[in-house]
Amino acid sequence: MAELTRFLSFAAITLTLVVVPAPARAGEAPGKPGGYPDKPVEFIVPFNPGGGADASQRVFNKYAEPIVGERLVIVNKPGAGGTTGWAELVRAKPDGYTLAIATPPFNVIPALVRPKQTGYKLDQFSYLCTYAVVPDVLYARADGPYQKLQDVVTFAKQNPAKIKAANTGTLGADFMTTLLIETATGAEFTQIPFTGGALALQATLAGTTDIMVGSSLYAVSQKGKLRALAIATEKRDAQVPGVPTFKELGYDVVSERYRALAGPPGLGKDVVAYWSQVCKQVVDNPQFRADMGKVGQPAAYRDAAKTQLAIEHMTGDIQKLVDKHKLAR
Amino acid sequence: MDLPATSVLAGEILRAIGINLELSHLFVVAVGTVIGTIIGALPGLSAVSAVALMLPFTFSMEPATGLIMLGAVYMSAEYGGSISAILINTPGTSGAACTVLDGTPLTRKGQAQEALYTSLLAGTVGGAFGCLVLLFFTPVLADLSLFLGPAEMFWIVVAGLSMVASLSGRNIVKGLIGVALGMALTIPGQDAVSGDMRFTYDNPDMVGGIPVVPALLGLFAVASILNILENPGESIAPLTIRKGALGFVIRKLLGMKVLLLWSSILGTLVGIVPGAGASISAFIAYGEAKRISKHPEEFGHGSYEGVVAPECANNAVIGGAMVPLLALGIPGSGSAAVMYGALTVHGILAGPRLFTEHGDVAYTFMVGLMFTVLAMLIFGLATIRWSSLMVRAPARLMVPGVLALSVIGTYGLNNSLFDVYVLVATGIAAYLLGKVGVPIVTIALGLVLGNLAEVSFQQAVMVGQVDKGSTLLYFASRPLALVLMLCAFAILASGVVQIVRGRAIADDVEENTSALAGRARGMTMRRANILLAAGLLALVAYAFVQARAFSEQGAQFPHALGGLLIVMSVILFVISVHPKSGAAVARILPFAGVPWGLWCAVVGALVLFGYLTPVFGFYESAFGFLLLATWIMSAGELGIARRWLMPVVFAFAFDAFLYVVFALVLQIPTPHGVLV
Repeated sequence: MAELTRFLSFAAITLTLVVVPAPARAGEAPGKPGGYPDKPVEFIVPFNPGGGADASQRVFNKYAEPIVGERLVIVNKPGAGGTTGWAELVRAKPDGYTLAIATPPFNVIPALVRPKQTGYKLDQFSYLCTYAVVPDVLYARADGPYQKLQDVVTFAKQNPAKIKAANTGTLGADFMTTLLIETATGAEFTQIPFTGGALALQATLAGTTDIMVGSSLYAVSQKGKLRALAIATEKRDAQVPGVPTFKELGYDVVSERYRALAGPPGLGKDVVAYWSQVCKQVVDNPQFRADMGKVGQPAAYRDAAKTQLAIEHMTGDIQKLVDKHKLAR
Repeated sequence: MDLPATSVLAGEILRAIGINLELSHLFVVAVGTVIGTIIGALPGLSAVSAVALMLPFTFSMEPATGLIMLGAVYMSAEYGGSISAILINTPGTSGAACTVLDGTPLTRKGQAQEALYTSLLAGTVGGAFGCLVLLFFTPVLADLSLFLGPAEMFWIVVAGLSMVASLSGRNIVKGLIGVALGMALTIPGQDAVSGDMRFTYDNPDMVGGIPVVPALLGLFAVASILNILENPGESIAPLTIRKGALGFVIRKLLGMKVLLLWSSILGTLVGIVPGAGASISAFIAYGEAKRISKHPEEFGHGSYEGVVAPECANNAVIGGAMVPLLALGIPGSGSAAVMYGALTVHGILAGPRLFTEHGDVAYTFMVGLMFTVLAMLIFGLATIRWSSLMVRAPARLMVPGVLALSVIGTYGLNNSLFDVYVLVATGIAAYLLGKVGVPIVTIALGLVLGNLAEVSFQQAVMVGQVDKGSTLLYFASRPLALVLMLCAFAILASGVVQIVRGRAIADDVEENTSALAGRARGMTMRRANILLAAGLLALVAYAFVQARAFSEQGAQFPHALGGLLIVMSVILFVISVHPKSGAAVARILPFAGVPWGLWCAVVGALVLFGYLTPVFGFYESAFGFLLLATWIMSAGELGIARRWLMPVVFAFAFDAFLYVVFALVLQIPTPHGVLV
């Protein structure tokens, strides 16, 4: 009797599943050349809503939607420093309907320091374009002893490991940038890891730590509390024109975070070209540039090929650090 | 930040009240409160996820309006978490983990309504207190959070961990085992301090570690649901509807003015501390309530004070958490971080210049939070008489329903199936540990505080080495840390006094009087204790072997926890084999009442549900699970309608309810399936 009832209940489910037509599947005409996209496109954001990457992707989607003419849906898949979401991206069907925001160096570092636990390889990303570049800035407390980068370097050379640098986790992006600064300047710091940008900021404001690497946003929002010592760009940044670059101070430190679009491996050339074009139109919109400026992520356009090149360059730089300091786990 | 002159402040507040009285703002507060309460009450989706889910809707609003909406969701979600904690022993938010301790016993006694009113009113008091502090003392208190370093943080965590004495009931050995196991759950994953990959087994999902909210939900929701299986025919609890329940509660609360004030202060202060949040404040407030109570023996058996303290504190946290966010631009909690994002998207930078550049937004938001507290009170008062009826639902529907809700709530948190597996695994483990007398809430305590304990300690060591050349000197050189250390030791000492007075070192007998009755078969507690001790020793041995691959820094915390577990296991072993104390526990049969057949069937269905979701889709698998589980649970029902029709109707109706709430309203993407 029990067997029979179990069978009946499963039969009922199966029948419901098979017989009831699925309206959701009606629009799935695949691969209409030239007709792409003809349904909503999903964007994986591998971080929590409200974070920097999420904010920029939402601004991007707002301006891209009218151009594309389809809904651009954000799906937040946070976890393991973003690698959970990117691992899901590279497993997605390369039909152009599942894309993601890639935020090098955040997707690059894990693949270099913990390749076995990362869930993707770096060559699996099909980069579409870059729409913003966020420079790293080195900060010290405004009422602390360090007025200029040279003060930090001089003190650190005389007192190795006496300057405490806050980062957002050992082997994270800030950690790597700080290493880069150490290598270029010859200074030696003690890196103190924190479990998030807010706590690293708190530590630096509270004087627990002396310096920190952070986004150029802090130069505006924490003006009067934090002093920007140097910015890790090629040329001075228009948003914070008073901040000297590491390069002009004589140190070869360039460290930026990209806001790029990426798709799974094997994405069609036409899809890549399409998004590269959409990106350009979006970034050319002065309103978009203004909005991105407000969220502290300066808009900047790079096409697919240039994005690929820049990320390969970045990967090479990080690989050197990983090899030099034996960081791979 | 400079203190604004009193007249300026008054003017700002009056203007902000005016803005908040606009119809659109009142509407936003009302909507935010309803949504927040419901999301808070849903197991799995925490206050942070409630705020995060609502964030995209605020992008098209005015900055102040959007912030008020998020504030309303945040505030009411912290309250909503207590509803499910009281009614179904499942904290809807992690801040309500302590509320189950006395909320559930009250419900079992038929006083669900009274407990709900208590949590609502306590939450209102705490929430209002936090908001007033935010409104009037932000400039003073903001600077306070700049005195906090890793040393202070560490002692706050130790103070929290000292609550284990209050939470362990009459068996401190098993309480300490619980805390150690909870903290051990925070070890796997990439260590933020050393960068070590600990217990990740080359599994990408494990790199982020064991997610806290799903694990908490497993500890409470799944474990307590499995307990209900022992009485499948009954409803969860009787419910006595008494006239004047509200008046009764108000009179009770009027007699607890000191407790309300103290819990509010604790909650607000913990809120200001960046990195500490609602769950820590609730644990500390609960322990303090027990310490200052005239009836500490009632705690854990349905004490109203035990509901008041955590619920008051977890709402007071919100005002506190907004202090460093608004005044310094430091979002010290997950929810504050989402609000920081909301401000940023509107081009407003939270930071020291917020009050000078966007003072209107800040004041409108702060006053809006007060309106939210009011809305929460009104909505709560209007709905409690209905929500309390939930406890009358029969267990055969409740079990499948709550499990399905927990699974989708967990999934919706991070859109991750790994989280669902964590939920199920911790649930089963917690059920078994609970049966052998390990207080589940102590595991939760360790889980919530473990990572903070390790990270703040390691940070203090590193900073101490640089600043003073020695960790000890660094701790000693921080006056605030010394004060906090004394507080922690005071809590610890009062706990020791409680233990010694109650002779509660390893008393299994008192806790298990019900399991003693009559039944003759099954494993004895003596054997269970020995098995537990052996299992723990084996676990520690395995962990130590694994830890040989860690760096020195990364291995310290696992070693410390392992040491604690070894000591506790040996004590447990000795007590159990000792002729006298061993004979006492040998009379207890912890698993006597467990219907193993039913248990395995329901757990099997749940595991199947988890594994089939990626294949058939969430709502399809949920329907199958609901049908199967309800059908299994209905084995004793008579009549075709109750035996056959009811499971189908319920599975369909509940699945439809889930679909409406999660897919249509909250728009949480789930694994696609055959239909949806």
